[in-house]
Amino acid sequence: MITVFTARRVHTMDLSLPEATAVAVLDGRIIEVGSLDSLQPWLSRHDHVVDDGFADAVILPGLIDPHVHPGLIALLLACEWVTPEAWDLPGRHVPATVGREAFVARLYELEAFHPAGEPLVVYGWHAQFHGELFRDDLDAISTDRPIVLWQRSFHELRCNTPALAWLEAEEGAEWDPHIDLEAGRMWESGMGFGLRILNPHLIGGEHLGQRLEEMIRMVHGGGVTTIGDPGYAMADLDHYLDALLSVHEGANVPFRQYLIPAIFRYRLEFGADHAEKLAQHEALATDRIRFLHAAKFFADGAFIAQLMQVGPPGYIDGHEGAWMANPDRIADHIRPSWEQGRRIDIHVNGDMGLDAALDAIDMLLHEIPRFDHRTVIHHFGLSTQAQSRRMAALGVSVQANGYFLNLFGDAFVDRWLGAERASQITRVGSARRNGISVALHSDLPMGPLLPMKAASNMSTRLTLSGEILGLEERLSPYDAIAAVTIEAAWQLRLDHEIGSLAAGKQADLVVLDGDPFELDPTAWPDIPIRATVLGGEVYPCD
Amino acid sequence: MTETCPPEASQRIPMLVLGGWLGSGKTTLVNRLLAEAPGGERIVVFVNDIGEVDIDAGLIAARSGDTVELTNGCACCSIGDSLGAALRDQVLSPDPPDRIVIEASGVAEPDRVAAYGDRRRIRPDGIVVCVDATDVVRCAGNRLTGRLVHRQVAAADLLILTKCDLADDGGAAALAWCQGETEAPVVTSPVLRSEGGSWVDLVLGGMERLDAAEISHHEPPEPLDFPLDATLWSPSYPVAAEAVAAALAEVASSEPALLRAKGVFADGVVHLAAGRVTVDPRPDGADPTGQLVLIADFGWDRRRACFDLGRLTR
Repeated sequence: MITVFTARRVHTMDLSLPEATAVAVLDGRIIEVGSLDSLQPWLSRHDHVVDDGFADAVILPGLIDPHVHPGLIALLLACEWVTPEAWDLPGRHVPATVGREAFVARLYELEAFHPAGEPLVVYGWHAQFHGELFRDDLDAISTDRPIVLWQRSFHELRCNTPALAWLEAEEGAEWDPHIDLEAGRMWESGMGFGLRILNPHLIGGEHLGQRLEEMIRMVHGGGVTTIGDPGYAMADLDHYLDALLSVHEGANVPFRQYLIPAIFRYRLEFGADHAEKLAQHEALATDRIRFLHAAKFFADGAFIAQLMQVGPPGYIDGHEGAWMANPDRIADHIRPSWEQGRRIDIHVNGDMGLDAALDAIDMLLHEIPRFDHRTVIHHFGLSTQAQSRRMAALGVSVQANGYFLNLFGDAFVDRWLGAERASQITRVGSARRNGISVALHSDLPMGPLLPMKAASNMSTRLTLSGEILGLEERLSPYDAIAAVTIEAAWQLRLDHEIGSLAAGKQADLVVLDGDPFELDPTAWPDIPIRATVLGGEVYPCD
Repeated sequence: MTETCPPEASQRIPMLVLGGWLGSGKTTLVNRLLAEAPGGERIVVFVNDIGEVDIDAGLIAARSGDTVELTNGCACCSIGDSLGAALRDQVLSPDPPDRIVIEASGVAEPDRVAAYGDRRRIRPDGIVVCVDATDVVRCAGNRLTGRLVHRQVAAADLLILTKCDLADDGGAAALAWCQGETEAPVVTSPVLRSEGGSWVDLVLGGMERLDAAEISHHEPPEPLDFPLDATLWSPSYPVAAEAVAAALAEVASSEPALLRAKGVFADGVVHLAAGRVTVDPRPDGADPTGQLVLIADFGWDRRRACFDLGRLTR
């Protein structure tokens, strides 16, 4: 039976037929996009129903977030959240909290209502937005209950006295230089020491599955019908995949999920058997959860934590970034996957990290030329004009974090890079001018899983303080929407299946109560998402 | 929390950090250490790796040792591993190692790695940084790698110049570069060639006691020649550690070129370093060899030293 979804307008994101008013679906796939009139050759010959529930709404291809970490968000969903930006989490709205006073007031409130005896773990503290908070400040809130603040960039914990005892920090401080008992700080590997207790508390046993179940609603609420997870699972791949396959598969799950292995995690966990183990995992693919013939690699450190490798003149305060892989050897890491014809995803944040990644791809292209290799640079914090052109020449595309500029641009102007370079954070406009594919991601939980918000950020280049940073680097409204639909699909090598609406493709749709092409991009995050459609099945949003 | 009391300082486990750029020969040196360590000494090697594990850890031939693989990447990307926690687990285990070697990742700063470990139980035993004679000049001048290479070398107590045999100039340019670096006030490390074998004794003998400044300023090493000499004194009769220590002190006072000595005897371990002779208890599992390894500058009178040791202990 054919189902015809009618709409005030359909944006296909295929410029061959950019607009329509009806989408006809059979067995999960689109058989034609057009109008009720143009569909008559089908409808006059086959049984059909017209679903006009969306007749006053606007249909786009289901949104795609190609870089999401369900495993990490599962961990954080077990925490309370007090963040500098607003979040919609399953069952709770987290308002933006800025300023030390507001943050501390919120902590008192959370402590008062937290179940007796339970440690209070709060995610989202960031000194830039909330001021400094040390052990004494947290002891003022409670000296009985462990209180742990988990920093917004993930690299640090701040603890009160009971929390230090709970996380065995006193002993840890003997072994790890990154634990400061007096200040209540546990950072980097010192945080790793605390996570040995914190992680099982948050997602041990059945908890992982429960939290993964909760995050289904986050994906749906963002209007997202496909996610990618490059580098799935933080540790214990078998345990993670077990939980994922049992929770994120089934008719109740309104999205497709594509997993991309981080080869080094397999090597660490399985040693010499890593290739065999990966093949075993890839054979576990189900309807909803698939493995891409791709692989993820790393160049330099994190953006939010200012660990990206920045070339001259460097950071204003003179600190140095970090390498996550030896910049000389990235090609060696990639080579086996390149030889297998895998698509390559590289985590890159700074311009020096980008040089290292591009050097590697340059070398591999000379060794084993590949057409249509679709290598993708993920995050894309800082880059240069020369690098845009070089990326175009090498056929490397951009998958930018859609939130770096909005959330952290102000701080990078004031403290880390200055106005010129901070304005060029995620310079997606240059990429488009050079004909490079640009997609956007959240890197959930680094940014919220709201592709319309990411698209808005990159179309407006507004920061939290309301400044516009790098006007010339903005995306056109069309390119911004393409970046969360067809360009994301192309980068995943799935553009024949998803990302635009055309005969033969999956019937994955998002139904909006407003037309983004009639509204200013600043209004996009507020357009209500009425429903998503996955393979022709309607999933209404609350 | 631990219930046992911290051991005496002399029983602290020595911890050596081996740093240097990827491909500089760290793994080769680890294998040499494992192969040449005194019989019965249990060495645990921590490979502090970031995705290069296939290249490094897989190549370590754990003769009598164990290998602990770690990843200390960015927390967003690999939550969980902690070098401090891993060290604790090994040191407090029922069967603690006699020696710890941390092979730092090629992009790590070795002095930051050396800061780990409970000092009541672990004795910092120096930072050895490998320098690839065929590649260091390029790496140091490279835009992406240069700053980190300089920082690694600056952190070293001892630089080991590797692959001199593969360098077109026998390593002369690399040696000159190292010497240029070591003129910086923070670095006073000697440069040793890996082809010479005696650095193994130096490293295993306890870097902490080696006055690196003294050695590096002693004489500029002859280019491409290992400046030290080693010999073995093996008495054919049973001898007490205290007796050896007394004899060694006397020999050392008359032979200033004698720099280091170490020997495991049934009732203790005898050390000579920085002009001081000490006797430590023999660790469990360390088989007594009844021999003394002696390391000195070239030109010393080794026959006289061995003769005197025998004369004074009989």
